[in-house]
Amino acid sequence: MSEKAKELFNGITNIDDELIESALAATPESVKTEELTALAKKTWFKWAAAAAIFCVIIVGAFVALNATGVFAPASEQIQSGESGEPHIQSGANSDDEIGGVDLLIGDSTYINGDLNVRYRLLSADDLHRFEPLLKDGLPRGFKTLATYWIKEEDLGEQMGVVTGSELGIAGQKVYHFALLPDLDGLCIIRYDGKYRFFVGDVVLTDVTSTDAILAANGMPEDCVRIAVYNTAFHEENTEQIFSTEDPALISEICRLVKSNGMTESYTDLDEELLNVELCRICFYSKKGMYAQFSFYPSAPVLIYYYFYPIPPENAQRLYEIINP
Amino acid sequence: MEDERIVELFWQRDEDAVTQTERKYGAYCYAVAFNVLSVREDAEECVSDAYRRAWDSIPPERPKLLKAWLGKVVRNIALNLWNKNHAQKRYSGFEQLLSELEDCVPASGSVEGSVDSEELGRVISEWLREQSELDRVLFVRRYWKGEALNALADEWGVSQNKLAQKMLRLRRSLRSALEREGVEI
Repeated sequence: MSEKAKELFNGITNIDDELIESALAATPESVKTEELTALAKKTWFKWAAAAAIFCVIIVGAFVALNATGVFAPASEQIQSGESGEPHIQSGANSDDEIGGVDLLIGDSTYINGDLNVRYRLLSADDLHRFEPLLKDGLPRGFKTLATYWIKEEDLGEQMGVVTGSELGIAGQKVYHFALLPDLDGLCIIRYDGKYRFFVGDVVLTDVTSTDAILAANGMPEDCVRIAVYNTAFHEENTEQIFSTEDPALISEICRLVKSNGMTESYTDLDEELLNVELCRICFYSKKGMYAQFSFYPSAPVLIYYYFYPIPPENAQRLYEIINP
Repeated sequence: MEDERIVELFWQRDEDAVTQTERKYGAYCYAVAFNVLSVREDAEECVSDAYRRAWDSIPPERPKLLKAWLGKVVRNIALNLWNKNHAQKRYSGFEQLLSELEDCVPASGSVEGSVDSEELGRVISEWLREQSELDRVLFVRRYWKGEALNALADEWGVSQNKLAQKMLRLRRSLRSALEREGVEI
């Protein structure tokens, strides 16, 4: 390979930053020109073929999932509120049914036939669940779980086998992550040619109280950490405003969030009060599961799709704990 | 997080600068490295080195366009890695790129003498500005970011053969421009 070509490579490296950024930001939609049309493939027949194959796949998947009992009409679905949150699916205890048609476009994956825990691909929003447990960080530095390239030596003990998945990975082995071998909420499965992290969420069958939601995640017994954040979801400006691993404090907080039942809408609550002082309380279990509630001290109410009023004195104490 | 804020973190010697850089540009840096090196471990090493280089360089540098700046760092490291390892390893991505770039090398005998890479970058930038937007985008994506021809064709919904012909015309056009400018490499 000639030195001159390498010099040219170096020269191209140094083209103006603006040219680079604008080219990287461009999309076929933003550069829609006749020139592009002239280069375009004649694709109608490919689309036709793809549509036919897609139909076959959908019908095949439907039949296969139906046969295994994974894909069936939900007997119990709690519809989302105004926030547009996803549905809470009913679980294995309700005739082994876990969801509706929306599952077809997801990445839901089930292990060892257990329909009570739904696994999905790890996203950056999940890092707060696991990275605090990596006391010494990840090897080789400068990595997060979201970008960590999983190697063979990261595979811990086999946790089980995928028994149903919208990703088409049934039969794949499931491994613990060697650095966090006790977690069931984080595992490694081979998908699309690579080992990838999957995250487990408990499928809630009883959402009538905060206690029930915590209990489904093995808490308060398994709770090892509570953290409070200043936003409703994990996003760029999210800040942790409180955290504790003190068992006594964890126990007290779990007691304080105990609700007096639930309501289904805003109507029982003063909306003005809901506009102030939002924070989010997250409960982390030693197995890597987690539950969270938005907390409006002024209302006082906790929210997880539904509304869970708590006694004012409990809210006051909770507020004092998380705002020392 | 905004690029300016990330750069500010570097200036404050806050290690979160690296975390935020990785969060925002980790996948992109990896893609640039992998497109050139096509060996996973080396691409990872290249990206890690790029973060360290960023940590060492900012300050005193204060990149205005962090994405492009990082990409350049990654490319430089990738080239060094190629120089170091190419006797033992086959970096198919880089070799393919270089073989295409041979088409752009101007004929020798120019009067101005060889130019340094920054000056060459300026001349290529000028030539790029004379091209259509589509040609600019395709050239940068192929020869700067190192995206494979078939991936580009798929993303842009164009025929791979037609795209290959277009890229050949672009390379020849660049060679003519370099010769016109009297650039010798």
